[in-house]
Amino acid sequence: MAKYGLEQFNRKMKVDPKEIFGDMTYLGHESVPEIVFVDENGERFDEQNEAGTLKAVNTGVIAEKYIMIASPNFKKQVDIKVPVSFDEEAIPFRSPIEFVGAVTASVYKSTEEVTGNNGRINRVSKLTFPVQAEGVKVVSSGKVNAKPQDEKPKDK
Amino acid sequence: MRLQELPVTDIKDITKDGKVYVLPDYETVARTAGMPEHTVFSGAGDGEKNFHVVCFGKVPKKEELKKAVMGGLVEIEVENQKPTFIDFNYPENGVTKNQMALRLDTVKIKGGK
Repeated sequence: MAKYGLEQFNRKMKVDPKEIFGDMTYLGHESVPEIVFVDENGERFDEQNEAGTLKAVNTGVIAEKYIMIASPNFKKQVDIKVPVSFDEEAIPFRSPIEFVGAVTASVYKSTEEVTGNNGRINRVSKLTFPVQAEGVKVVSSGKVNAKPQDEKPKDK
Repeated sequence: MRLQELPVTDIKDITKDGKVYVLPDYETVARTAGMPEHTVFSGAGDGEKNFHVVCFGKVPKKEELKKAVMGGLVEIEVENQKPTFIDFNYPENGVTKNQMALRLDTVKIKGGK
């Protein structure tokens, strides 16, 4: 059957973070460990087999890193993929941040469970657009930690 | 949370030359619990042979689109509005296909009034 919809595979789209997120606040990071699957003979596989009999083993290597940001344009925290070399210690919680370098989005296909009117749960396909940034830095003006300016005494 | 809808920053992210064409015979889909009334066009462009353009606003009459057809397609304006990439479910040949579509606020014939 012919393909429907815009091409999704390996698609990278440019993102204007200022337009989409506005002012961004850093909330924290999450490191995703590399997981390999091992059979009873110790042979390693990248993916679980159909029967689900392989044992998942955390290699201790960080495979992917994400940061979470708050944006006035979104009700929930937004995940942004960053390079594994991202140093989370360098950015304190609630720092106003901006992205450095290229910011792109890709297409991610997943399934979600939807409860129908009859109470039955259906699994439906869903597309989302994960965002990746090459780098992150704290905005130099530092809105969050800015002290309120003292009022000037009135001249008598 | 990941983005559910992505604003188009560069129209050449849609098609290679940034031009979007539609077939003139669109379909109007009535409002449902989850979606307001909208219009669905079959779209195409350089590098994208088959996708849907979804419009929640004003669209030209089919007769106007048919008059503007060249080579079976009508070029529409995408530059002066804020198109977005969306997740879209649409029944085709009896099967609902989940796909990536282009959302526009209005559909205007390129060079039209």
